[in-house]
Amino acid sequence: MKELLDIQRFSLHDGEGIRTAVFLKGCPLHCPWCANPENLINAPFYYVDETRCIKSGKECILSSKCPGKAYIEAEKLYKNCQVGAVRSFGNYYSPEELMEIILKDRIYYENGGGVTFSGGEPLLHVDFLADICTMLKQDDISIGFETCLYNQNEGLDLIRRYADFCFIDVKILDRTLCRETIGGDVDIYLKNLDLLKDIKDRIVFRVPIVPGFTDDHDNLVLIKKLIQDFGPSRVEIFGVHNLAAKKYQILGRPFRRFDEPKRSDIIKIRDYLAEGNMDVVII
Amino acid sequence: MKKLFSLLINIYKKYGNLFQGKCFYAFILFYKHQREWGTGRALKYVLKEFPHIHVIKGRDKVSAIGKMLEKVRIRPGQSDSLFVYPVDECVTLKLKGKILGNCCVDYSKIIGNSLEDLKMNEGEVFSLSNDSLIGYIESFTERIIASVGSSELKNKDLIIRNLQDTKTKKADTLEGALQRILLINAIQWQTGHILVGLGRLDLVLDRFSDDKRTDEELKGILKDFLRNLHEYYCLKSNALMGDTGQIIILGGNTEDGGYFTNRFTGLFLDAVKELDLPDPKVLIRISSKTPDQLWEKITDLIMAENGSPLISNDDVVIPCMLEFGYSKEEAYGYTTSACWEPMPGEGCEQNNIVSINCLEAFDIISGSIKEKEPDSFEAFMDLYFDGLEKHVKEILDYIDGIEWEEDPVISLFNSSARSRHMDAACGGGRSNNYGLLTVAMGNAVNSIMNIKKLVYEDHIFSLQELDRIRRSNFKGRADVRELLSGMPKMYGTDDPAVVSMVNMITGRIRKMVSEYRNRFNGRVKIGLSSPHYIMNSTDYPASFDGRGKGDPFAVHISNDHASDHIGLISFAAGLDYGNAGFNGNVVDMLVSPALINDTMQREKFIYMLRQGFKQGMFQLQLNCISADELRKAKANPEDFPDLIVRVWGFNAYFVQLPEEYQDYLIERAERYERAS
Repeated sequence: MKELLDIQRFSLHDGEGIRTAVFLKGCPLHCPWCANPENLINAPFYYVDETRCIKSGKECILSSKCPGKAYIEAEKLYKNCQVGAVRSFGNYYSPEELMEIILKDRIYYENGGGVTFSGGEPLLHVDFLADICTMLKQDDISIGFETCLYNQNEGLDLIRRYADFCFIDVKILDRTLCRETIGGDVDIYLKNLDLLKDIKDRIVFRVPIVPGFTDDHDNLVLIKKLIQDFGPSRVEIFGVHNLAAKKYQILGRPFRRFDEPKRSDIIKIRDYLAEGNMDVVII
Repeated sequence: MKKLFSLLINIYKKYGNLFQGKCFYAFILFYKHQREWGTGRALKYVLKEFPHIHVIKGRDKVSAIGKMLEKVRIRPGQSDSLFVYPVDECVTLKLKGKILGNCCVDYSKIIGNSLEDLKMNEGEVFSLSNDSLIGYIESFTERIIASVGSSELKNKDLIIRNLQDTKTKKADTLEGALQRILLINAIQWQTGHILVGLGRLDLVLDRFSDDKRTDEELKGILKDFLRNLHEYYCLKSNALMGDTGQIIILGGNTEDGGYFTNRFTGLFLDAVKELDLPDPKVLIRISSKTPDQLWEKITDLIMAENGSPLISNDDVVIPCMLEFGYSKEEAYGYTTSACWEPMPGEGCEQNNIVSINCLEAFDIISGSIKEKEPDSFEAFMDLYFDGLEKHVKEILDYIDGIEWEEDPVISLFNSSARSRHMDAACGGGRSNNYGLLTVAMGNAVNSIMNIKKLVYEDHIFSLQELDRIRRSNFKGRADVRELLSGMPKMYGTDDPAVVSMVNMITGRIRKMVSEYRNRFNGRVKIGLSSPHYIMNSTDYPASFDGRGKGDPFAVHISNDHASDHIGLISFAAGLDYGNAGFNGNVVDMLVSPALINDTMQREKFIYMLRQGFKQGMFQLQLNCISADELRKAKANPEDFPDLIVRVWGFNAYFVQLPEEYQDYLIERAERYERAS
């Protein structure tokens, strides 16, 4: 069994210590501010990086088979480009192959670091994760998840069984707005969350501050109530950014540019959400 | 003008002893100062000083030193300094051979002894020469005392007392000890030594750790000492501004299984951080036993972004030195040459003589390729190694022919030379090995990987065709150059095939030199870092990695084409430094300021470095700078007079570097940022 993955070594933002972040593909949501649009669909996407392409005139000097342009139909693609101009978002790995890569950096996990499964939505790949998590636990490597928690499946058991911590996104909590904006069912989300309440000491909420989407008063009131009702171990908030513009361009998807929230506004939100002695940090 | 300087300097290096004289030395002074002041001010200075320029020779080396010390003008420095640092850059010695450089004397000998104690009183040639030299140093000290006595220095009584004591008593105060270091250090510069190291100063000063004064007071004294050493920055700077060799070695594993650190280790780290000068600089010897508290100070110094410290991993270095055959005392007591080559304790081995150019083999075998295309990758590699062996043989022949200048100053502080009654430059040292460096290893490995892929796997070119295009510097074939440049840069990644390729090449080089013995029965050590990555690349032919003719070689152990720090560290940790491969192996890492400007990320980054050393990284130096800032500094140097960067193996003011070095650092930073 192989899964399509992106792997990032030396990740500093995905949990305690130094981590290897593993991005799995496919997502039940379509957040307009998504910073990983390449992970929304669980299918290979190949493209030609024009900056690496070596041409004589208009022709690739290496192969007449090269289309010399973005090409999505993988089976027709000239993939064996010597200069790596034909690139893909991710490659297929078996749990054993992934484990080999993870173990290369084992020495760097000793200070609480390890592996974080992110996406896309990692919990869409329960069988693959069960295999790799079993191996990781055998090797005593810390496991983290980052999930939106909007899908119905046995993924919750994975978290309960294997996660040393789990980031759960908290986005839009109004039922209608959530469905219309990001395609999520808040009832499923809240039900899933309720099922994880007994392991709340391993749960970290992550709240993206997206002007016009997540930062309005009504939504913040709902988020604050959820934080107080659930009582996660910590809440992390962060401002949305526009760093994914190039990825949208490569994917041929329209990129929606957001105003990055002011630091002072993020601090105000942090202070508001922290009322009631909650541990809320800006990352 | 630049080419003329370069030509004259090269002539000086090779044949300087044939026409050393007042005019030539005046030109050298002019050359050195114009790097900082520009030609107008430097010329004016040299013309003003011309009457005071003396190039001294004598009937023998010691009497020449005596005559020279008589000529030195004593000029007390800062009025509130606790020290005097008597250097006169207009007076120098005429040298017959190549002077010992890149080493440091053991200053504990002049701190734990008086000059009188160092006299041998044995009546044969070596000891007569030794005692005679001490006599000249005593007279020189008297002259300094007289000069200080008639000065307005605020601390002249203290300085005079410390100098008086030097003659007859061991040092009993920190200031007294530091004054002695300055005196002997000044004499080394004055006698024509280059790249004069400072040694393990925390260890040397250990007996003063119980000083009752506060850390702040002691740090103030160290800062004063360091400011004095920073004087004569131009004179001391060798090939480039900043290339002074003034390295303070701190910390280190001990023979009994512990780790040495004392009050002065942290105080030197703090003092260097707070002074924010590029020179003197710090090399810290770390290991798995380095206390967390000391790591915190090391981290603070890294964050100060003044180029210090270079970090050397005792857990790897010392076992390599022991395996090579050094005694425990030598291995655990190691210092380094400028910039990083481990030097056995109390040694004066010449570790930085010349670089093996790993690309040279391609040019040597070019004729053979033209005659007959190697029919397999293995056949090509055999040919490459034949070429490399010829190049190494030429280098061994060159180093065999070096005549070393007799060196009574270094010998005075070398126990082995003293006990054997043999000058340190004539084999008197306890160990007398030579060190060679390698340059362009990254270019050679990436070239070989390109040839393997394009010639022998994908059959896109014949080797003959590719070599012809390379030799023409890709004339009319910009596309091929682009292709070669665009191929994945494998050197500096932890791909097992690359690690084993590098180990295979270095293993072959070490085998090529394994039988060599110099005239002192010393052997040859090899290192993977060289300061010659620009100097040796000037006009050097193009290479198969897409590097154009005259473009700089790759820097040390680096990979600017990837932002994968762990990959680079794992690569370095996978290399084999045993079997004489420990002559300096520095990872040169570029780090984005954005990566470590947050406390939590910074902690993780430092943890990564610590684990990298645990994994087996040999040595490390860092540049934490953005391409944008460097571009701005180049465009508006007046706005960035204090911007310090790490180049070669030393720290320098960016704006004082030659343009090609500025451009290369900008190019590397841009490449790194593109990859990030």
